[in-house]
Amino acid sequence: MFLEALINVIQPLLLLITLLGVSLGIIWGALPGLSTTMAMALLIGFTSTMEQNIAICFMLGVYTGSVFGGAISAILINIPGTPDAVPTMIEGHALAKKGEAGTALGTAIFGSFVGNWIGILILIFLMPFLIAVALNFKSWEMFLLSIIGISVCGTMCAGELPIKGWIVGWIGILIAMVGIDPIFGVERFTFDNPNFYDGFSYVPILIGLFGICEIIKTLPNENKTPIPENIGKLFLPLKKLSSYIKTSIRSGLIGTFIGALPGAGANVASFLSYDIGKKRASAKEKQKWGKGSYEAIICAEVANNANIGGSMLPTLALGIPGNAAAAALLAALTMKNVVVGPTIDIDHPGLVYFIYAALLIANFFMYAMAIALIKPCIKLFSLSRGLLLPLIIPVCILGAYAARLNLYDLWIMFFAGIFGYLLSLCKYPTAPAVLGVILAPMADENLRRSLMIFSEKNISYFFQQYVGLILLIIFILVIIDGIRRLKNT
Amino acid sequence: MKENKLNKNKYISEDEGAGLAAPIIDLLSSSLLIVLSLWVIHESIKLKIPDNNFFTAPALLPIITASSLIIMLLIILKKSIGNFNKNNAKNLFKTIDYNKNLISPIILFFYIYSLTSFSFSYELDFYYFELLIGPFLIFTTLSTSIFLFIYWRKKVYICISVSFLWSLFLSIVFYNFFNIPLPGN
Repeated sequence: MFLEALINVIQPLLLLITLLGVSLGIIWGALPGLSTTMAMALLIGFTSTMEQNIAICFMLGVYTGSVFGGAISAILINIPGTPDAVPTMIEGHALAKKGEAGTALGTAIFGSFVGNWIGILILIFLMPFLIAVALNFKSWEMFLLSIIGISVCGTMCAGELPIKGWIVGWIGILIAMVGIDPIFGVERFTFDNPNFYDGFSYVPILIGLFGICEIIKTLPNENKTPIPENIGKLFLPLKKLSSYIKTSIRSGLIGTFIGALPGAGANVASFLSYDIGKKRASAKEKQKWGKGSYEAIICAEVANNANIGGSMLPTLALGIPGNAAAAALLAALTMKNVVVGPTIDIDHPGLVYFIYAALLIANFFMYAMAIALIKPCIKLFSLSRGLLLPLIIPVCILGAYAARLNLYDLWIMFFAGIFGYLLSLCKYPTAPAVLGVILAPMADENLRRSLMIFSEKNISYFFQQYVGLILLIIFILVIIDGIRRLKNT
Repeated sequence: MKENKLNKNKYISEDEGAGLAAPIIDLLSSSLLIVLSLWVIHESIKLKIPDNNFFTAPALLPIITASSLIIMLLIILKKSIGNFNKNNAKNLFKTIDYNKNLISPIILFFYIYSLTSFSFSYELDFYYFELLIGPFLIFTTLSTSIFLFIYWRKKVYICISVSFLWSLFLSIVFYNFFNIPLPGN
């Protein structure tokens, strides 16, 4: 099955599309202010007329490329291209100032390559188990899963104040309630406006929250930074790289596990791995931490790239996006009528294997293109944000419109952007809103179905739902942890 | 000891900007959201219950969500009232540069308004493809030129040229290569 998928992916057209996606992703990720999620959200529109396999290869290529791309600007100009590249920036730029920019970049490329491999291998290994478990989930379990997903996302996004993350997630649920109710066909909050009947498509919401909002926030703040002309040699000796095997495996496991948690993306993965790496480093290496440590770059880059494979795990097996970028991938798949979740292997045989193969190929291309694109990226850094960001606005417009060819979606995108901007002004995270919008229909339908079943049975039936009970305990623990954090704030 | 306590309270978050805002901002935002949640509950109560069973009612999740939202917002509201300082609030509003922050949303609003209000298209046939001139090409050139003029700070003709070429490129790529209709056309 996997071999068949691999043969499918190595067709010239798909290879070319993956290469294009990876290259675009690296350049996008390298440009300060343009995040992975923004790239994924904007490009959903591009994939609307593509064939399913082409769209998957393109999106996965962009995802893989853009996560690494952030490291280039982080090391060379001390501005993280993507937020997860901050630890790489601290260490990499310190090395760049010592004239070791090339080797710092080479280490980041190596770390990203290894991280992707670890993430993909764990994904391949765990996917069948997760699907087998998820196939036994009934309405009550699916409802709890969706609520846990939104709550964990809130906790992960808001850090010390999870309640703010939950509030945004809950607002996302309310936004998704607009439209025709899926069980009885009752109109909810439509105000007799036909545009509201279908509810809000989450493509314009994603573009608004991660595209327009970022543009509104970043445009007024122009930054000028010196750009290095010569980066020196690119790779560390193999012997030195091989001494980081243990660090790589540990960071890969952290990255994949964090990726599998809803809402926790590459940022949490790279910071956590960086923190743990510092505690575990030898006394000699610990002294270099913060002043230019290659091991620290490995910790951060392996973790944030392993995160990609990890985020695919709940996305494909449960239909719960591992992070905002995975939510964009989910939106692109939905546009192709691909419904992900426990029945993915039954509804779309071979698709999961195709995704594994596409991720593997994208990883190889990432390694090659990262080396090839460093110099063009340095040239791109000289472009002003005042030039780049206005040029992205029409791409947002086209992306939001292309999803449903509905002009009304442009307004949804605009107001989602303004909403995201207001959220950031009030120090609320934005990602839980997306998860809320995506998971709310699943929560709504399954809650009502399960309550209907429970109301016909006696109370002992509720306690016999063992998986549900475990999930309920997890949900309560998430809430207790949030309240504990709130008290500490 | 103090450092240990600080470390103990530190949590890694995906969104680095998330946390407690200035008390006046938290106060205003949570008050507004509480009012909105109350309105959602009010509207939900008005919804029909087709089988007279509350457990399957379309209003069930909106009511549960809005109610729990109010509880969470009250916690934020309580915290913000506790930290509120009138002078700090006044100073905060004085430091906000409204012109700088409002200009992009305003241009964007008029850009989208134009795209959604006008509908026309003229076809120009070239040797291999047809070029569609419609609201997208015109209004994108116009709005991008304004954005570039304000934020890129180059001469007007350079801004217009760059934005026209970019709009043309996007029109051709989307319409001619991806076969995606352009908004307004």
